[in-house]
This record gives sequence, C-alpha cells and structure tokens, in this order.
Amino acid sequence: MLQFLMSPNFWASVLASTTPVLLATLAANIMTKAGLFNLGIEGTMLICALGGVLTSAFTGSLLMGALVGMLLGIFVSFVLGYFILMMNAPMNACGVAINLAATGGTVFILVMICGSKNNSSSLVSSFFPSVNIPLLQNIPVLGQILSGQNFVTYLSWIFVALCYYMLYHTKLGLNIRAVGENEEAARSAGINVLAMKFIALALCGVFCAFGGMYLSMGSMHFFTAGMVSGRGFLSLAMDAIAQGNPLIGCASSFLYGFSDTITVYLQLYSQLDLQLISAFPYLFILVVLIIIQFVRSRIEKKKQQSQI
Amino acid sequence: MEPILEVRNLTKIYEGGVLANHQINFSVEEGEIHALVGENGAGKSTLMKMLYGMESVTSGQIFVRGKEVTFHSSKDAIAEGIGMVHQHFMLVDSLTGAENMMLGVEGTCFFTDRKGDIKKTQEIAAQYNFEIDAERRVRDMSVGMKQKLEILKILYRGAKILILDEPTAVLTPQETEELFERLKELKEKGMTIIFISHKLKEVKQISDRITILKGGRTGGTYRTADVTEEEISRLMVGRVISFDYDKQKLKPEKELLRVEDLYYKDKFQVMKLGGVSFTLRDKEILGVAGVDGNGQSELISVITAEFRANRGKVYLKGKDVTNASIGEIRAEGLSYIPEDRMLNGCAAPMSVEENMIVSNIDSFANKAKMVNFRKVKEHSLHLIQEFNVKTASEKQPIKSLSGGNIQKAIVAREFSAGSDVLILDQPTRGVDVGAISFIHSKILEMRGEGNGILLVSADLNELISLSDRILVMHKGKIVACLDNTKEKVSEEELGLYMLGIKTQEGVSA
Amino acid sequence: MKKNRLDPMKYFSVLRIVCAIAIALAIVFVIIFFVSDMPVLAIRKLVLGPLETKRSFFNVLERAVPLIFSALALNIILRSGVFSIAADGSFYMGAVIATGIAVKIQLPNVIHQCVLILVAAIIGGFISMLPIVLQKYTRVNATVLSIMFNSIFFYVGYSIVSTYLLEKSGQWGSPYFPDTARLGNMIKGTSMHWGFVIMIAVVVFVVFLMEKTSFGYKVRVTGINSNFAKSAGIKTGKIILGASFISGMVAGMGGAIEMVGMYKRFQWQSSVNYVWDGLMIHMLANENPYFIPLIAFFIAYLRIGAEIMSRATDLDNEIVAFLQCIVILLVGAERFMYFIKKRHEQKLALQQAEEAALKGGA
Repeated sequence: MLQFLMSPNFWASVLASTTPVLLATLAANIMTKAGLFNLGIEGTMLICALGGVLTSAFTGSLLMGALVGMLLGIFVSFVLGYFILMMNAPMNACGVAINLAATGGTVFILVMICGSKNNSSSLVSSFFPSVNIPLLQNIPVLGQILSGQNFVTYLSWIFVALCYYMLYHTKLGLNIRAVGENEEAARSAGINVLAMKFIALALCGVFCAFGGMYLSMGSMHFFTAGMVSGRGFLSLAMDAIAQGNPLIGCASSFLYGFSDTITVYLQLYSQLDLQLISAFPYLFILVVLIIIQFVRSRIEKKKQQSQI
Repeated sequence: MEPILEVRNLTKIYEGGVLANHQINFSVEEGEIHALVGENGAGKSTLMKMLYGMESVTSGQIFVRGKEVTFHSSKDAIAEGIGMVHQHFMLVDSLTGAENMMLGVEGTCFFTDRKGDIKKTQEIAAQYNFEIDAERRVRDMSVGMKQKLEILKILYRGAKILILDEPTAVLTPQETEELFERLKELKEKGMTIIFISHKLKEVKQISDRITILKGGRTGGTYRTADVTEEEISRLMVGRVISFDYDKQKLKPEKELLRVEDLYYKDKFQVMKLGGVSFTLRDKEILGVAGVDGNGQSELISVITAEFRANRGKVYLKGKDVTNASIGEIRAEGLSYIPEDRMLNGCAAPMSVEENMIVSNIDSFANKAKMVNFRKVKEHSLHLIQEFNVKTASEKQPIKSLSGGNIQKAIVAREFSAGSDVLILDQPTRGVDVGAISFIHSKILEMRGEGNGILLVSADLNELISLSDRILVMHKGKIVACLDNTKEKVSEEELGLYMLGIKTQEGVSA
Repeated sequence: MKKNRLDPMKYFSVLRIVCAIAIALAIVFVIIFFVSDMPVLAIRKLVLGPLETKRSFFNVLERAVPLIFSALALNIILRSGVFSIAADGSFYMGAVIATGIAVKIQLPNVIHQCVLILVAAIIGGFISMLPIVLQKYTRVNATVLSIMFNSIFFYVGYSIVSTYLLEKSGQWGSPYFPDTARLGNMIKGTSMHWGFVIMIAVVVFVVFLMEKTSFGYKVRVTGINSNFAKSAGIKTGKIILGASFISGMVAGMGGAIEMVGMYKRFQWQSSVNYVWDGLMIHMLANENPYFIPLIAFFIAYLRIGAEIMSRATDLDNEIVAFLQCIVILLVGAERFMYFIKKRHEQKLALQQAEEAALKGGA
C-alpha cells in the first residue's frame, strides 16, 4: 500500500505542497524574531492571492500581478503594524480583524468582478511557470523530484537561505533580533525599534504574498474562496517548533508537506474515512510540536539540575 | 561657564496619568561628576530616560551646550554625545559582547564582520583599561563585566556626557572601587558624568556637585564639599529624620513564625539565602535591614511561598508550611504587603472596593459562591474610612488614586484580613509623608493588638523607629540581631553590619 | 466637586465604541457608493431591511442566538487573560454531538433536548480545556494550540457525521431530527425557537457567574494581573482551567441549540466560525457580558440587513466583513481617541500633585 513512497512523483508533490506553508512559516519566523505575533498571516495570504490574480488578469502581465500582490502584502502588514505599534491595539485581535476582512472581502470583490462567489475561473490570469533546471533534470529520480517545480518553489528556497543569512549575518538581522529579544536594550543602543519592526512586517508581507500567489497563480491557475484553508494558521504552529529559525521552519514545513501529500495518497489508495484523514496533517504537526516542546523543557530542566 | 547640559521646567506625565516629574530644573557643568540623589520613586530614572530620549517629554526644555534639543529617540541623544548606563542593563542576552558593542552603530558595511567586531571591542576595552571578554555571550557574563560592557558601549558611541543609573547597586565593594577609579580616569579625560544613587556615602566620595530630587521635583543643587551626609538625607527625605513614636511596652508570649536554616539559590545559581533562621513572636515588630540584594526579598518570597526553599523549614504558628501554597498560608493566618504595589499589590483597572476583598473574597461568598456585594460595600466603605483612603467613591478604579492612597488601600486590605502574622515589604516606599505616618501608626496599632510583624525596609529610620528587634542581612546571612527596645540602635551601627564590616558572633534570633 | 471631576470619563469607552461603529459604517457606505449602481437602495436595505417584514425581524433575533453563545464563551475565557479560541471547536462538536443524540437515541420530548444539550455542553467543555492543559506542559501559545484544535475537531466532527450519522440518499447530511429532539417553534410564522429562552437564561447565568460570584471575581483578577492574583493566594492555573471548561460548555451548548433549534438536519459541511463574530461582540461589549446581547443583536441586524441588501441589489452581503475589520481595529486601538482622555488624565495628575504639595506644606 505504501509503495508510492518510492515514486519520485510523490516526493515532487511533497515539495509542491510544502511551498505555501514554507513561505507562511518564513513570515511567522521573521515576526517571532522581531518580537511580534501575527495571526493575520492567513488573511494576508488570501488577499494577496486574489490581488495577484486580478491584476495579472487585467494587465495581462505576470510581473505586474506579482508586483501588486507583493505590494498588497506589504500594505496589509503595515496596516496591522500601524494598529499594533502606533495605536497600541492588541496583536491577536488585529490579526483576527485582518482575517475577517480577508475572508469576507475577497468574496465580496470576487462577486463584484467575476460574478461568482466561488472562483475566478472566468478570468484569464497569468501564472508562475514551472522551471526545468538544466543538468539537474537529467539525473534520474533526483531530477524528477527537484527539477520541474514551480518558479515560486525555487523562490521560496532562495528566500529561506536569504532570510537565514540576513538574520544571522547582517547588521539588519542583528538589529531585528535585538529588537525582538530585548526592545528596551535595542532602543537604548540607538536602534530605531519601530523601523525594524516595520521592516520585519514588510518582509512578512512579501513572504505571505508569494505564499498566497503560489496557491492562486502556481499550483492552481485561478482564485477560489478560502483557498488558503488554514495554512497561515498552521505556519504559527510550525513557527512554535522553529522558534524563529528559518532552517528549522523549513524542515518542519517539509514535514507538513510530507504529511499533507501522504494524506492525499492515502485518500486515493486506502479504504479509510476520507475526512478523518484530512485531520492528519494538523494532528501530525500538533504531535511533533508537543513532543519537541516537551523534550525542550526536559532539557532545560536537566541543565538547571546539573548546575546544582 | 556655560553648562553642558541644562534642564528647564521639565514635566513628565505617563499614559494613565502618573506624574513622574514636575517642573524639574537643573544643570550640569562640563567635566564634573554630578550626583543626582533621591528616594525610590522620586523620579530620577524618568528624568534620565527623558535626557536619553527614551521617554517623551510632556512639557519643558532640554539644552545641550546652550542649544535647545528635542530627542525623538536614543539615537538623537547619542548624536548629542549623551550616553546612559541603565540600572537594568540594556544588553541582549543571546548576543556576544562584541555584538552588543556594535549593536545599532551606523557602519559602512551591511554585513556583520564578526572577527573585526571582536578585535575592535578588545581595542576599545584596552584603551580605557576595561577588562571584558568580547566573545562571550552576555547571558554568561558576570554582573561587573556586563556593566563594563555597558560603559564601553556608550564610550564607543562617542558619549561625552555619561549617565549612570544606580551603577553600584549590583556591584561588590571591590567592583565598586574599581568602577570609581575608572570614573575618575574618565573625568580626567574630560568626560562629564551624571551619577544617580541613593547611597550617600558613595555620592560624597565621588561627586563634585549634588542635585536632590524629591517627589518628582528638584530640591536644589549643592557643592558636595559644602553639605554633610545628614543634610543630604534630610533634603532627600524632606522630613525630620527620625519618627518618634510612643511605643507601648509589650511582652511577647508566644512564637508565631519560625524560620529554620533556610537556603535558596536563584535561577542563576547564586546563593541568595545561606542558612537563615529566626523567630517572630506576637506583639513584636521584627525589622530586617540590609543593602538591596542581600537576600531580603528572597527571604520574603520564600516565606510567602512564591519561591521554594532549597533547604530549611518555615513554621507558621507551629505548623510546617515550607511547601504549602500561597492560599494555604494565607488561610493559616499570614498577610503580606508586597514591595511593588502596582505589580503584585493590586489590579489597577479594578475598583477600590474590588481591590479590597481579593485576599479574603471567599469570606464574602455564601455556599453557592455568590458574593454578597452589599457586605463587600459595607466592608470597603468601613475600611476606606478607617484607613483614610482618599477616593471619590468605592467604585473608582484604584489606578486613579495617588500612590499613597493606593498603598493605604492595600494596607487596609491586608490588615483587615484577620491574620496574626503580617509581612511588610517596603510598606512606605514612594509614599507621601502623610500616608507614611498614617501607615506607621496602623502598624503600631496592629502590634498592640498582638500581631507579629516582619518589616523589611530600605528606610533605616523607619526600621529604627518601629522595630523591637532588627535583623541585619548580609550576603544571604543574618549577621546581627539587635535589640531596639531599651535603647535605639544607631544608624551608624546598622550601617556597619549592613556593609559586612561588623558581624555578631553566634547570632540567635 | 470630586464627583464632577470624573464624569466626562465615565462614558469615554462607550463614546469610543460608538465612534468606531460610526466610522466603520461611513466607510462601508462610501464603498457602496463607489461600487454599486443603486447605492441609495442598497443602503436603505442594509439599514432598514430587517424592519420591513416580521419574518426578517425575527431572523435577526434567531441569528443573534449563536453569536451570543460564542461571545459569552469567549467572554469567560478571554477575561481570564488567555487568548484561546477553542470555543469554535466546542461549538461545532456540540452541534455534532447533539445530532448524534437526536438521531441515534430515542427519548421522550423535553428529556431528549435536555440530554443532548447537556452532553454537548460537557464535551464542549472538555474540548476547550485541551489547549489550556497542553499549554501548561508544552509552553506553546494557547492561541496557536486552540486554532490547531479547531481544525482537528472540525475534521473529526465532520467525519463522525459522514461515518455514523449520514443519510444515504439525497444531499450530504444527517437524517432529519425527530420532533422530540427539536426545540420547536415559539412564535408561528417565524422560525423562532425555544433556544432563545435558553439563551436568555445562559446570559443571566454568565452575568451572575462573572460579576457576582467569587469564581468570576477570581477569573477577572487573574486576567487583569496574574501576579497579583497569585500573591493574593488565588490558584490561577485552576481558575483558568475552570474558566476554559465553562467557556467550552457555553459554546458546546450553543452549538447544540443552534443545530436542533434552527435546522432540521445536520448539513454543516464547512466550519461555521461563529467564534470570530463572538470575538468582535466581546470586544464591542467592552468585555462586559451585560452588553453582549445588545451588541449581538446589532451585528445580527447588520448581517440580515446585508443579506436583504444582496438579494435586492448587485452587492454581496460579505461587505459586512469590512465593517467588522474596521470596528475591531478601532475599538482595539488604545490610542484611538486617546487624545481626549490624555488631556483629562494630565489635568488630574497635576491637580493631585498640587493637592499633595499643599498637604506636604501644611
């Protein structure tokens, strides 16, 4: 029953389904490092997914679509930032507000423009192409898995690397981490705390935008209502595992991609109840999270005891 | 000569309406060590934070070298050559010394240069004769090293005016001596230093001039050589030094609280309590004196079950309560006034009435757990009257009251709970004079009613005028137990014990 | 004189909320003017639509019932200082459990409803406790955990219905509920059900619990200042756990009542997400359970108005989402209209300082 684990197709789709969650997790990572908690990642992704589709449909240009999607992501994050940082609003409630506006607002705009409550398939929008990597695609198995993925998938890997490098090897990253860990200290060192947080929010917006656009302009070629379906929320759990580290975030996103794909395959090949299997990725991530956190607290305790 | 830094009519009101500074005026001359003294809550830290651009100014002006400046952030202050070392170090724990050193410095390169930073840090440290380990993470550093790092950090940023907020509070005497030597060297190099402290001996030793802050206002600037410690302390406290109370002569009959051989290590594995034992009896006030950070607050935390002792026992009225919960201890008959009234003493947005019943809420509830609010109202009105709490009504949010009245409300709640043992941690800190004498009279009244009172205070006059016996703590141990009934203990004598210069042989309390 | 001093601030929070709602409505009207061909009709339908027929007016009342249950559930848990939205899972599972008992077990009228509501409430309570318990052992944010559990319980509930309670023929859904399980019609010509009465009872219960009992008092103190609560001897962990259980009970009960009151069979194929509305109502009610019914009616009114509007015009009813977003942002923002309060606070502080100075001098 599990022979599909051997097929390159399976692993290729693992990478594909990892992509949006990976980008969302990256967004959550940078928020954690800057000392913020963004419940609105889900909504931001949804807004960008629609924004990208609509712009590309009207301008006929993929580039414009991607650009507007990105700017929309930054804009939404800045609205959130404005209320949290300048107006002292609670982070959780503001994230929820963004999500509400996104779920309802995207449907409203969809109806206004496409006349359908469900999807934008009546529009012809552009999408990110799949990319075949020369040389790599000729290697058996590995080429089938790694080559031919969507452009955004490769982009997400580049983002992980850049984000990691930025956080740990540049002054900007040092400043963001300092702000997230000890805001007062950063402020007294002359760092502009607000600016750092807004930079982090902008990055978060860009990552969310590509995560959302991958769904509507990559894995699918049109927008459907509620298409993010909890990936933004999952990223928060993934980030709780990673605690802000993009590499661990990447690894845990891969775990999600694996569990999500295996769910699809099981639904195809097994007799198990379909709906209960749908809960599997969530359950899997939850269990991983609980185990990791439990081990972490054990290690901490041991450390303390060994010192005594 | 024109002052390098001048402040005119500076006022600060925090959000929520707390007035921290009121019409402050003072000036600092170039190349001097200027001490700023005042009690806790006198507004020293707020003033300094405004000078360093960390808090916005509500009204008033700041001049640097005769030029009016407005600081939007610390960056602006740094640009004017002002640097500050905070009471709580402003260091990022997970970063190394060098990384902290370079944090926020405008560099030419976008990327971090780990090796270069370490080298630069070591060079600067050598230049000023400071010893630090640039590669170590801050969380693994000793307190003294952290402070040196902080000072280097601001020197590296080109500071000419150094603000040090209670720099010696956390240092050992040797570290303090070393710090003073470095400060004198810096002064010779032409730096101006603003030194905040409430340790008058140190202020006398190191400063050229002194400005006194009292209750958020300035109490004048003096040449250090012209004033004695007593004069400074009188100006600081602003009242006749000793309270003279007519204390009833009472004879304790039974033991209420006994602490046996208590040990406690904090999370940094520092031994905060090293074998503390004493007994508190009824009808007596047992004072605890000590320089801040010598284990007094840990002792209280262990007794009130906030922390767990590593070793030793606590007996409350003969019952072992070492591992009891806070609720159990309170039910057994112990009340506690915490040091920080806003953090642990009250729920700020709740009404005065609701704040007065929190520790004995269950006594107002019937079997169905319904609270009888008529009874609550009667109770709180009675307390408001008896304890002279100035409030528009009992429904007023407690945060809208003044500090003294909040403290009186808390005292009212704890004193009316019917406990035999009262633990008071700094009961009159940052409270106006009227409220202080009122709270003192209530404490004496409770003593007269047969309660045992453990009084921890940084105010030595308070301890001397109220206590029957005074324990002195030094480095987590009780170094003396002084009888205060027949003859008042002198402040000097207390000071000798507190500083660890003198130790009683075979202390038994 | 002293009393006068505080009067302007007494209604400050109410004023803020009214202003926030007014701004949000204004923005929504502007959007309508921009995108609609018949803006005046649209606004009229949105604002007055629910009053046009008896049926639609009662629709507002019915629609408010699940909102009120969600808001009450959130009120209890959020005021303990924990941002858990597990009430959503409790609500959905409550509906599933009620369906199960309604369809599978045969009991006499009245008893049947009581049993199914009670069981749904208890299971809902346990579901809401899960994130709190796990937070204690894993130190993961309860918000994240509760969101994960909401997804999991949605799929679990859905598959319970799919596997055990599915009507084989026709559209996806459970069999029709027997009459003994339904909450019946209270008023002819409407779908008003007895759940409305239960709702009122629960509102009274929550108001009493939160405002009049020692438990509610402890929950509030814990939420406002948990350090203080601990040092006053309150066992904050237990209090939060208790609050989460009662919160889940209210939500589970709400799910059950909504299901057997409003529907003839279980047909929820997507998660219903009343919890977000509940959160908004909780915030607009200024965390005060007294006002929750009032605000819930207001939100339900807007929802029904928007639906009537979308039927009569070219606009979709989801336009309400913009309104919700703006209202939450503005009401949440401490600094919104803070300048009014600031002036007052500063005056008060200076006044107090003068008084203290006078006393000190005397």
